[in-house]
Amino acid sequence: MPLGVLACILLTAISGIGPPDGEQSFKVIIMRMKYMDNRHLRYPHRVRRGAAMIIALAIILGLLVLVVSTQYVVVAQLAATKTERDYDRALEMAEAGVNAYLNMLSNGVPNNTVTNYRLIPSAYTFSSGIPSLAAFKAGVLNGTYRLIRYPTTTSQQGYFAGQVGTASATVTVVGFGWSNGVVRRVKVSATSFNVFDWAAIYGIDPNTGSGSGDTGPAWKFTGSANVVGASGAEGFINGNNNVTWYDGPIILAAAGSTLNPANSFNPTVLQSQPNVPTGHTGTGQLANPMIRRLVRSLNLETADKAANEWANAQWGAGTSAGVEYFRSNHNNNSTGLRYLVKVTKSGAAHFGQVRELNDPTRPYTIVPTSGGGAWNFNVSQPSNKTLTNAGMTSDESFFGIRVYPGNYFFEQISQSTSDVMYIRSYADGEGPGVDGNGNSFTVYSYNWATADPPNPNPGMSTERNIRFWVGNPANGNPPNSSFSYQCYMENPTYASRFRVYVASRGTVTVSGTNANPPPKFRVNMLVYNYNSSTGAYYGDVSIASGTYLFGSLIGWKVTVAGGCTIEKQAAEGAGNNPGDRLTYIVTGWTELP
Amino acid sequence: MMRTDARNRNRTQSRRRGLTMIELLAAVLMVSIAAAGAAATWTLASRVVATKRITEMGAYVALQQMDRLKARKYSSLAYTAEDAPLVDWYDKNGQWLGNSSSSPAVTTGYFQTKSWVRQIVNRDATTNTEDLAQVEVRVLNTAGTRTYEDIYTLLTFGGI
Repeated sequence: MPLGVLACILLTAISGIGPPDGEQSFKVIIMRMKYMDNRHLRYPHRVRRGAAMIIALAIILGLLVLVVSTQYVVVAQLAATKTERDYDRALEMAEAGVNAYLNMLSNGVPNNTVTNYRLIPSAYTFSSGIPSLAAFKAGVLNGTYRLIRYPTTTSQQGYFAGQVGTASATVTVVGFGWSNGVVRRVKVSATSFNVFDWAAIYGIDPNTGSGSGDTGPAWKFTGSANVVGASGAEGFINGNNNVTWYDGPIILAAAGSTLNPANSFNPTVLQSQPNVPTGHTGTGQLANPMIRRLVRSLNLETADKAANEWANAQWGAGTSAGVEYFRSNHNNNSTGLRYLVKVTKSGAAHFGQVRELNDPTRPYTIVPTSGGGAWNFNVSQPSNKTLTNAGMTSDESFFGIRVYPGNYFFEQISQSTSDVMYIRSYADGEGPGVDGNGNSFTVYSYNWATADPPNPNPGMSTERNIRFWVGNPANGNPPNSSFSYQCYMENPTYASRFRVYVASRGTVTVSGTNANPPPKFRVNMLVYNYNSSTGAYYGDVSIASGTYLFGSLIGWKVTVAGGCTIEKQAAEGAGNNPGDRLTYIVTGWTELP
Repeated sequence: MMRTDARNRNRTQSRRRGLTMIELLAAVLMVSIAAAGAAATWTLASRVVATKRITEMGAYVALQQMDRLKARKYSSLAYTAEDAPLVDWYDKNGQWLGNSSSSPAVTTGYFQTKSWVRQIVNRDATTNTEDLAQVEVRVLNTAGTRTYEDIYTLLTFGGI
């Protein structure tokens, strides 16, 4: 067999590749060679020499077929490899789009002075369903969907993201990734994460408190205390040996991680049990890992920021006034605070029952807006004259002050351990609630005509949350505020129904009592704000001895005395409160075909 | 007549012999060209296979490294300085070897990755969880002189 044919076959065998009709081509060559061999037998020697051209051409043809087919396959494989790479990149782009969109939902669209602001997409809702890959591709080409090119404005990669439905307690976000014409899309579901979902107690001050003018530490435990559930700090935890920790985790973020190194901060964490610590219900679960060190500070909202976001989300207020907004807007001070009186004279009608003083012909003011005590919510018993003028009879005694769902602005809250505040933490028609001992508690209207009267605050009939916004006076030193354990939620299911946002530079104190079981002060309290004139953050809160704070306490600086327990309870509705949203946490991921 | 036939035969034989030589020369020339072309294509094909392998492995290693970083989560990924990226090493099969600059991986590794975590959007001039972070993974040869792949993504607190 001629050498050319052998070369062709050898090359084909080595390369393992060839044109689709290559085998047929070789058969032709071989047949032709056999034909020539036959001629070699039939014709004289000089005649056979003329076949060289045909043989050469056949070999050339074979080689050319090999060359072309090899090049074709090589080019095709290269193209396939690059397409595969684009598929990988497109997925990264799709996920980048989802993350940028979630960032926008939590933090808003940055203004155009922020570096790389264009990477944050605007809100977009897929109102007509999620487009298919082909529809999206066509939409990009015709301008329906505008890609955010990334990493550079000229790159052939980018993303587009939007949401399905509304973004509330949960959200579904779909991200499309593009890379050189290759498109992939992913759908994620995410749950809103509330600032009060984070921790039972969280101190922020990154200073140590060791130097002159140093405002730290973030936490200071002056005696034996219990902390149940997640807790943490972004600064130094002084006296951590005084603490008995339950369940965890303990989050040490930013400076909190470096100021509480593993060699000095390695506490034993116990599992909470029924009545361990005293007053605790249920059995907790130990976190794993117990101590979590985060490199980045949590973007915890200040009281002013929370006020702005709540006002904007609730009423589209567009305000940046912070808690001050509520001094003169949507302020329920004059309608939602009521004196409660109880018939205490044996044998009198309605003996043992409680009514509120809300006779429209006998108006009264609990929180004045001017003069002495202006903007001070004084929970203590007013004078008998005040109560009598408001309608209290000689058969009755002062029982406390009731607070209806709504928004309240104060410069000071004054509650001693003998003062009683009832938080009417349910919507109209959901009562009656319970008193401080857990017994059924019905409050009647001033004329006993109505049991469990409706919320007097306009437009709040379905509201369950009570929000206290505490600001600073225009002049003078900001006063300190105080709460006590005698702050009872009539529906105690969720501590988050009572939210206190303190922007005041005064200190907040919570007082408890030695009792077994200890009464729980249910609250979500944020004592953290920013002074734009000094550029400093502030917010001091002190938990006095015998306090059982149930809910969440976040402060710039937290001081805890002995005999205290602070237990976390997650906010109601999985953080469905745009004013308190810290972020969205992704809970599900799907790639859509 | 017979002489004429003999002359014709000689002429024919002579013409055929000359033509065959030209044919052979042409064939040799053409075969040489074709062989050279085939050889060149073979070299190209061999190089492309290697390039393809590098491209595939570059993408594979880049994705591996990206997943490795993402697994640490946004809240645990510190920002890196431009001149101090995270350096990791992979063997020729994409097996992770380590991330220490003093490890044997420096000499035994086949791929080197350099990763940067950057603060790409920061609204409040404070380093916190409001920031949008950018992760870049660049795959290079061990000497760091040749880039095989360079991918980016964005991370946010609580995100993917």
